[in-house]
Amino acid sequence: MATVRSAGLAESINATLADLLEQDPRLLLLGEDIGRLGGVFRVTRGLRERFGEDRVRDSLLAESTIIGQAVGMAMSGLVPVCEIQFDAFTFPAVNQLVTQAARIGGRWNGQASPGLVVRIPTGGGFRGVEHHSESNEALFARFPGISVACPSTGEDADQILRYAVTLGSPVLMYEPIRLYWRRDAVARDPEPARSPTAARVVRRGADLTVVTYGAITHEVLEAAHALACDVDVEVVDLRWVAPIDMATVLDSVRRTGRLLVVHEGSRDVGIGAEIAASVAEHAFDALRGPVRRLAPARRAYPPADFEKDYMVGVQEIKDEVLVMTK
Amino acid sequence: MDMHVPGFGHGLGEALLIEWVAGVGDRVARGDAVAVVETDKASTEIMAERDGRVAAHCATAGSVLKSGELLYRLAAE
Amino acid sequence: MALKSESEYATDLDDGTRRSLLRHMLVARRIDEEARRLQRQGALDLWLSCQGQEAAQVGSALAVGPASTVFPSYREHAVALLRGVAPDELVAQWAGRTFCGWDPRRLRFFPYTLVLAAQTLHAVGYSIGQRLQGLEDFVVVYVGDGATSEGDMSEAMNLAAVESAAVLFICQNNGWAISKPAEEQMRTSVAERARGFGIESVRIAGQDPESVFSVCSRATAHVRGQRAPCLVEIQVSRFHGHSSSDAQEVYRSAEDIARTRVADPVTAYVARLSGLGVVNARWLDDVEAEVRELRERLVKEYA
Repeated sequence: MATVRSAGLAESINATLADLLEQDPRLLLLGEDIGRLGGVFRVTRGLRERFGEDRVRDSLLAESTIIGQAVGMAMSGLVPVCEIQFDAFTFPAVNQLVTQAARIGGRWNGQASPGLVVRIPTGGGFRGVEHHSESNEALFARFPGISVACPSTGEDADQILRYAVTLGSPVLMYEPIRLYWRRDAVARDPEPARSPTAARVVRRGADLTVVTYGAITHEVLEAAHALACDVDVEVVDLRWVAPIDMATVLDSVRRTGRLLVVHEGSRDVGIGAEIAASVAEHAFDALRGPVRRLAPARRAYPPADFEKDYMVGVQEIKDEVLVMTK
Repeated sequence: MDMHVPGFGHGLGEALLIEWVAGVGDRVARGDAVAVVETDKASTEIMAERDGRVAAHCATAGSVLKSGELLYRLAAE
Repeated sequence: MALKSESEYATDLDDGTRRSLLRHMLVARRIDEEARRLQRQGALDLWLSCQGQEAAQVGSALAVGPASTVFPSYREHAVALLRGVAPDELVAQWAGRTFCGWDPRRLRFFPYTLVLAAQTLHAVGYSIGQRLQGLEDFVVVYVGDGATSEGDMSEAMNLAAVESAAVLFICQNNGWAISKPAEEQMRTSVAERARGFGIESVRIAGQDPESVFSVCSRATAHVRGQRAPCLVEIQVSRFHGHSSSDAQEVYRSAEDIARTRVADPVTAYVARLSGLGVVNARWLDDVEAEVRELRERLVKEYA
């Protein structure tokens, strides 16, 4: 299997944030421990020293305060890029995100277009304690007015961030914790994305389409390479779950005739359900078999000793692909 | 006995070995610093997991350590 | 400055300011009455009356000056009208036409926020954002007593205090969180709570627009001069139910409601200024004629 060395996700995002801060004086960073400490994952390391405490702001330990004040800052013309420390700690800020940030543009009849980005470390596989390993992106994908990105590489995170700060409405970017320092990855097709919000076909194949996003894209690619002699798997990395680039998904399914959706967030009422429904509506005739989903069951993320049973691994992906193509 | 590179938490799988604190032949007690490493998050110390004498270093300063790899050998006293 | 008691504030306003206070109170009362009628005839889906709170709203809004940016809750109709929101723009959202009927940026009177206290954090963030850009950072945010139970209110007070944000919190305490009386909502006054966060505060009666104006003028000077937040808690009376869908007769005694209406800040101020000769029948007729025109336009557009 061809693997490549690359910068870790944390390092890439740090470089992008530094560049954005350099280019746009309206941009500022806001989050818990992101200044003096550089963030619990050190994603913002060195930025306070470089850009000052006014622009790299250590917030109070209160998530509603972070998002609520960011909404006000955005109304004043600034572009706050917030960090929530761990995915599940987004919940105290949900009211501000959903009833406020997402609705300001509409409430102002388009006269305000507050740019607001929220970076959220997400996902499991690193023996996190309770609430530290969740994947809640599907929840926010339901709310109009919020865009939700789930990059699986530093390169994609860079493109997404640069787009997000110009959008003029809130963007949540989910950053897989287990990719922050991972430096080796399965090689991908070098095909560029059609636009900053488009999905990316990261592996061309003919027999079956796997639609996925986020950290688990790496496991999907590993499985696809391992199966290469028997099944030619195409892998679509969605990169965004709201809005979803269904055009790329449908195009792929029309070519392969089979669809498996793999994600780390729990299966029920998840992103996979939405994709399966859309494919059934728009590409039913192209399907050679039932659409399948591979994702954790609907239950709380378990204590670390049990996370291997909870998470979807390379073996399960391979098994599922073989069942679907036998 | 073989002593391995520990996990560093939060998905950190590797660290740079900065220096050995306990030299070959040194006696260490459980909790003593054996080596200084730098992870992506911070500089930290690797502690002796039990009492003994350092019999051999299995990595050199400046090399990248992966969790689970052999790090040093400890002789019981 | 120590904001301690209202007796410190001599209400020695010039007659022009007094007439301005009364005029805005009368306009607000009449528009509110018309909106209630429009709601009863089905032209508006809902109306949240501000009757009984006109002295608090007009006194504070006139004191903070036109350069300030106002983050209202959803009952600050007198503030809205004083800021230049036209009556038809004010009722548009209650008729289901829009979520905000006016131009928030031009009037520096931001849209109503219906999720309680959410706007308090926006106000603090906006003030910080303005300050960071070297722009006017004096911000006024209105909340009711019920909203002070929300976590965002406490978070906003703490944030404003630690950031020394130029935010004036105005809490209109009408004694009721819909049906929950104030004494069951809190064990201290809102003003006392603010001091726990390190915010200077004062609690005053809201029947007399002149004392409200004076206290809020001082509070404004404090926020601007000290670069620190301040909170003014104004005791007001709620004439009608929380909204047009509320039935306050169910949980409030008839005597209490009657008592509230007897202490009407609008009629009391008309009587006072008439007695002092600051206004006369002709001046009052002129104001009523002006309001009649506004009401007719409102009826024409919505009824």
